Amino acid sequence: MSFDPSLLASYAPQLREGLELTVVIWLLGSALAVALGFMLGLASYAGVAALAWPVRIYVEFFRGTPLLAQLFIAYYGGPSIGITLDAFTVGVAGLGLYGAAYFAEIFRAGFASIPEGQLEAARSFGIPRMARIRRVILPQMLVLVVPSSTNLLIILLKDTAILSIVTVPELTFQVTGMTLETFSYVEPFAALAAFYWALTELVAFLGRRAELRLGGYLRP
Amino acid sequence: MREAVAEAGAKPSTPPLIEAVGVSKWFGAHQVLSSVSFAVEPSEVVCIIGPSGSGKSTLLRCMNFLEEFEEGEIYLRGVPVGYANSAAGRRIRDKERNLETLRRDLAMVFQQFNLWPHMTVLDNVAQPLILVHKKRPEEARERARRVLEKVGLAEKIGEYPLRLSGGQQQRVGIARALAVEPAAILFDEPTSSLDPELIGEVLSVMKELAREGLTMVIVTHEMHFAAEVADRVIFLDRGVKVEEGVPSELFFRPKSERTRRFLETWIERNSLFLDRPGTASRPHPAP
Repeated sequence: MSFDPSLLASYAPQLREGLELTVVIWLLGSALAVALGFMLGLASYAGVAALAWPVRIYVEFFRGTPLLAQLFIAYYGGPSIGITLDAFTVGVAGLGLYGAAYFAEIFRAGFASIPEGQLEAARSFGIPRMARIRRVILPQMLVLVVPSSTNLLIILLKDTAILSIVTVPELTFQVTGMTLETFSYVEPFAALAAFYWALTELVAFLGRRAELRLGGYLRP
Repeated sequence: MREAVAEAGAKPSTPPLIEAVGVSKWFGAHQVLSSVSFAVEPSEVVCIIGPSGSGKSTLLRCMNFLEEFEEGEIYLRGVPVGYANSAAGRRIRDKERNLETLRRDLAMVFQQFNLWPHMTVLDNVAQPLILVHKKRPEEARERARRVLEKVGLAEKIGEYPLRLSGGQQQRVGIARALAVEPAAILFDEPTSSLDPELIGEVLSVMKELAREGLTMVIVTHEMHFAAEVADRVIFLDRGVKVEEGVPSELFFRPKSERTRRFLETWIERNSLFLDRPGTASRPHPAP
């Protein structure tokens, strides 16, 4: 079997549509994951007693079960309890809620890694709690979490492929459709791999740049 | 809150700047402070010395309530630190709000500097002024610049702390404390984590401040320094205040056998490193 790039050209509109949707869902899902994960991480760092167990259970559930299972339950199980969501919404929410569990742990660890002495110094001057978090903890924490966040964003990007199973017409969905119509597997999946790789390289590049720019103060 | 003092009656009309009365503290079952009392008057330099683990730093940290204590009282200008009495007369932890107000009057210099590494040197010094003393940023930075100049770091204001030597970082720490114009500065072993050749630059800044009449409470292992600048020295051992006195008494005619042994051990250890015997045999008396 010979490699036939023209196959890809004839499916260019579908591939483009799939690629765009992949990026959109990834961006929206990641935004949700970061925002929710930040709140969960802050809650467990700050030791809000009433939230400790709910946060713990949330993290353990979304981290402990496969994204695929979560998506199936939401998409096919939702209607039976009166929640009917379209594939796009399930995709964004599913990715976001799943990623939030991981981001919660990244942020919690980030908060906890600020040396106690720095906070003591702030307290010794009478700097109030909110100002300590805002001026001392947050700016450093956000730098410390850049590498692990980049990593997670890349994982979430590739996990968007799983959304094809619940009929989200993203890149993997389009490529799968293409193989069913053409019976060619190599070209579509080579293209698929190349697209994801290019995107993840871009994310990794931006992550490294952010790390260098923001973390300048750490280099002697 | 000053009424509390008036009621006590026995205290003079102008209370000491800082006063500790029978302060005791436990870490679990282990007692780290046993009924320690002392007073610090304005413009005084008080050094607290003693072996490692004697409770010196803990005592200092009780003064601005970074450490809680189970018994006794500490007063800052007659105002109780950290605790208030409930209606039933029971001792309750003071509101965070009141602690913040109280801490405005004290500043601390730490053994590990505890600078904020993501801020420039200038911002490290300006930040408490902005966040606590409600100074406008330009005004705060202007004052920060003046104080940094005073500790000899005018050229480093735009640098990040981790790019400075330990001695420079500690001088930033001192500048940060000075900038808020506190009633007193608490020094927690300010030279203990410095390389020997960097200790001098920090001590000379502190000597200058002592000359200017700044109130200082200093936990230190630098006996020569204590002998030179302290108005009074407190010797602490196993959480007990063993002896307190002017340097010329405590260092040269210690009343207690424990003080004497502690000083002798210190002298032995330190003269090992000197090629001229006798130079460190006694700390030099204050001129």
